[in-house]
Amino acid sequence: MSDPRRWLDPDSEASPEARSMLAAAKRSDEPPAERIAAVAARLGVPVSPFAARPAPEASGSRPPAAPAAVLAGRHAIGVKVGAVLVSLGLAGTAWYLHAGERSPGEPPTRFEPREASSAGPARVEPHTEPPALATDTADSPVAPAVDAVPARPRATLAPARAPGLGEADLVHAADAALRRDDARAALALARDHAARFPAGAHTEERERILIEALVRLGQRDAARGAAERFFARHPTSIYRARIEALIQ
Amino acid sequence: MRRSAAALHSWWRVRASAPEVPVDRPASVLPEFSQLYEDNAAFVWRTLRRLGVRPADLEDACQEVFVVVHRKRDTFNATAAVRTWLFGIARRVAADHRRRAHVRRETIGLPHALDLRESAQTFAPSFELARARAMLDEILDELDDAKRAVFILFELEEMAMTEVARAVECPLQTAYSRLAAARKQVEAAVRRRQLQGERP
Repeated sequence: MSDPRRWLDPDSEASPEARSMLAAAKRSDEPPAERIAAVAARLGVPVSPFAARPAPEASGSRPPAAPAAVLAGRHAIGVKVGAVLVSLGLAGTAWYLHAGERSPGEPPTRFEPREASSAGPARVEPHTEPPALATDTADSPVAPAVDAVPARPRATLAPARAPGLGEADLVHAADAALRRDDARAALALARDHAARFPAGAHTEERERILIEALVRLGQRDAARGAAERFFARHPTSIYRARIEALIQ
Repeated sequence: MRRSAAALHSWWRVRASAPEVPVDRPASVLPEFSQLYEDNAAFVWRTLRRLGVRPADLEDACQEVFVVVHRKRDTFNATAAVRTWLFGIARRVAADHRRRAHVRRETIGLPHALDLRESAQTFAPSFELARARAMLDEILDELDDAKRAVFILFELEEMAMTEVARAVECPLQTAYSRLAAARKQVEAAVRRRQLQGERP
């Protein structure tokens, strides 16, 4: 049996109304470039054709990472696409994906056939989570007062627990708080998620948000400790490069 | 070298419309993650949109898909096409988002049709386009998941039916049957709306 003529084909059996609906979808479903770039930035993935990729011989060393305070505001590749694209400055921190040199034991960061990859610790799946990060960060030896050194102007929204939200919505709310520069709310929501869903499906993203919130609030030692625990639990996480850039 | 926003937009439209990864040829090994994202982000975005994820949630959903992709890359079946695999992940993420959106609508009492129309207008360049797009959303929501998947992959993503069948994990003949049933249901829904005075 061969494929039928597609409805978008003018000679197909589709009614004009059905065809026009499909045509509308074809036109309006393409993602705007800046939205794709925004998702790439959140993932720490360099995808723009204008991104300056380092030469292979220089890929052993990580490129200079943008300070956390300007990660949301600096664009490393000079493209004028609007405020969202400036977060592509994170692109420079993801070159570990192209790194040729790895120290022994370091997990592979490229897609390689399993049998070809050198020995490295097995990827840790986040199914058995240690106690919530909220406890970990509270025990940090150095925890300056939240009010001491705000990296950004304090947001007007107060941090709040969100008992009615499901796991994914809670993480999304925390991420949204970060994006509107409300690090206190982001931290509170991330800790709420850690308490309620210690081994949830969005653990990696939650921990990434929590670490970034700590950095923005000036709690760099707590952030560094949380980052080290993150790397131990998720050695090949997609967020690794971004977190490394945050705590440098 | 600095390039304009228009050039970037133009570059993305070309990449988005041209399948960078042959959809009917299996990949022996996945490309690097950044390349995988670059080649398939637009496909994942469109798929999520057509599987019912609201425009306002597309960035989050797209991110979720690629986080799962990164986590599960070692489970990729080397004999499958990359987009077949990505479609399966996107389908599950879309189902989760639709469930949550349904709960939110019921919680705050927002009429479904109004929600869709407002969402469709967010990214559509004209009111007519937005209205047509919103009507398609409503009609696709009336299809069951199996028919919806076949319909959007064949009619909108323009995949060959052999690839569609692999993506939705059903025999080819079943895929043809689902497409025929989906077409019948969509045309009936269009006629019904015409009788009620609505036009795409």
